[in-house]
Amino acid sequence: MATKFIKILFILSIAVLFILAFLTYRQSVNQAEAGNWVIHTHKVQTELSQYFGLVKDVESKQRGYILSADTSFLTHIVADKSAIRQSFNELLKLTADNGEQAKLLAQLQKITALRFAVLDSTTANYENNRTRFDLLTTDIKKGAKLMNNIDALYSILYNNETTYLKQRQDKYKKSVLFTPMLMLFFFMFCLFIFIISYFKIDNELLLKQTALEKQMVDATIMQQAEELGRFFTWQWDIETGVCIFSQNIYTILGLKPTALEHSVAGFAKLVHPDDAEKVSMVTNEVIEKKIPVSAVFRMIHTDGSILHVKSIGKLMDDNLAKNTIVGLTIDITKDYLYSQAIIAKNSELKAINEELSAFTHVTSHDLQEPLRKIEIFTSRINEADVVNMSPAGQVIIDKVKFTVTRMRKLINDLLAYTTANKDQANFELSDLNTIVARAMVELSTAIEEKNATLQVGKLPMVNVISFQIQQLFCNLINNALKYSRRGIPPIISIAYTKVNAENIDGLLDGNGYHKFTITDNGIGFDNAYAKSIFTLFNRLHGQNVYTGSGIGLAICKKIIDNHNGTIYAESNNVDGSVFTFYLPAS
Amino acid sequence: MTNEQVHVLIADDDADDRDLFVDAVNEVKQNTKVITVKGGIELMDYLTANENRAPDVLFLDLNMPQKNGMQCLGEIKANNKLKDMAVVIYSTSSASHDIEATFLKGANVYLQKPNDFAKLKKAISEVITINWQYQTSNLNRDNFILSI
Repeated sequence: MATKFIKILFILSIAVLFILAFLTYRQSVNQAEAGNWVIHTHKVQTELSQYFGLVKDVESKQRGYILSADTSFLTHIVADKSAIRQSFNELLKLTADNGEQAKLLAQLQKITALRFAVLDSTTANYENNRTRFDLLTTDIKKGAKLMNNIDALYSILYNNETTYLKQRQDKYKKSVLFTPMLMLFFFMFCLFIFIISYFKIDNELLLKQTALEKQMVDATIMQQAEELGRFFTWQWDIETGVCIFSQNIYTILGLKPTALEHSVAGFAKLVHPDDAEKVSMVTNEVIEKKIPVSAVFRMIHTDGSILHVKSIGKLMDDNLAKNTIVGLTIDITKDYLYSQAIIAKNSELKAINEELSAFTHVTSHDLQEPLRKIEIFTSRINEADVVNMSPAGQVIIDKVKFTVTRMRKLINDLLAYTTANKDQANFELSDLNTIVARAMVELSTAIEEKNATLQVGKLPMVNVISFQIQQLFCNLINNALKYSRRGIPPIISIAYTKVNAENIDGLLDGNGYHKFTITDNGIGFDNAYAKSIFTLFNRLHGQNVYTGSGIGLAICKKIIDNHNGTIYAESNNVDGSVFTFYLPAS
Repeated sequence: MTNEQVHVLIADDDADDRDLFVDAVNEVKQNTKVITVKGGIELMDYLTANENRAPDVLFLDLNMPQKNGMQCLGEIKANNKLKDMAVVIYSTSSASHDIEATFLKGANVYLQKPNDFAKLKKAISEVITINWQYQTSNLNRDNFILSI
């Protein structure tokens, strides 16, 4: 663009220079011509004066002769006449270009001839009859009349030339004035063009310089990026097989600059032999499909170690690069080994999970099977043979029954804990009022037994796994019932508010949460255990005081974790306890 | 109540369970005859043998080696001679998928193995006194599970 502008400017300057040179030349020629014309006019006028003078001379010499009768006057006349002819010829020559003057000259010649004829006849008459003064007077008058005509013609001719001179002088003056003006304009114009060209070229050079500097910076950045990202770029001409690699290939593969052939074959030598076929297949794909294709394969470092690399290439088919594949190769060895380790860990994890699932199955079925048998056999003894037993034996049978029941509960709770998993599919918008009502039905026997009062506030609709939340309320209410004060009917209240989280462990600040509190008037607990009561198998009381598996609150914690909420408990060991949990509002 | 002898067949790989079952049937003190088989293969052999009279009620355990209860149920319901026989699923499992699958395959009652001998006797008594002719035409999910 800029180059084009400069080119146009250059061509324009040359054209203008030519035009100006031509004009100047013409002007000089004109000026010289005008000068010549002025000189020419002067010449004509001088010649005219000479001519007129000569004619007058002839006349005065004739008069001299008549007055003095000295014939020497006549001899001079002949010489003068010759001079007049000469002068006339000169005048003719000078006015050859001017028709008007030539015409007047012809007239002048005619009258001059007449004048000379009269002159001659006067002289002749005078010589024949010297006494006839009257004739002489007539002749002289005739001659004077002709002379007047000559004078008039001379005046016209002379004046004409004066007019010409004036015109020509004007023209000359003009041209003399015009030339320096033209020269000045010429100069100014050239100066203007030069200044513009200077600034333009200077600007252009500056731009080029800036571009060059930017290119250098880019190249440095690219080089740094290649080093940091551990990759190198390449351009492969598929017709010639020539391949241009970026510098970093030497670092990545540990190559000496001389050890690398700049061709596809040279690259192929660096590829792991087992992956050669894969690489050539991918290459064909790039050429055939004309879309960017990537492949992961191995290359061999000069120290013999294997590099895992990822190459991405694309066939260029535009004006900039035809039949060229451009691409880059990234050393992903570290990531590759990392992901291999993760894959290994994952399958290990999967195996562990399967084992756990198998364990769950064993717990739920196979472990319950012998337990059921113990129960049913004990029940047979109880039914048929208990009457034959000693009182001590009967107590033992009762203890067996109690222990088996406890074990069944333990197994069921453990099963509930392990199966309380997070499954996104089970989340649904649920009415917590209904869920709490269901939990209360489930616990109706215990509630009646303890003569407990439940005060439930209005609860919201929340997106939850409903059976888990029901279990959560069951466990918490059950907990409140179980740890009630002896002889005091439990009062359990469930309250709800919507809050924005602020400095609450496990919650995201500023997010909306549903806050639930379950408050009881039971025995409470030492706040030192506020956290540990949620851990599996952690119990604060002996089995003989309050029965329990130590799993209930751990299940609550797991359910709340599944819902991305948080749960904690508070108590001052005197006035019952408060269990608080949060569920995300959105 | 009918005086005609009721033939009851129990298929269970667990010897204790078979013994308990036989004891329970005998203690119910009704006119019943109980036959035991130790697994799925033996059960199908017994049922398809021409000389044996088809039982009135089959108690079928699900979890048995080689051929399990679910497979047996499928074969029974696919067999024209046997498909009208009343089948009571008798399993420890309380898993909903087992209950659902056996119902869809055409079992008549689902009885979870009780953990109390008295309950077992009660359940057996209830099952063998059902008028199956009437009951089979009236299958539904609500009374599929026998609660005792």
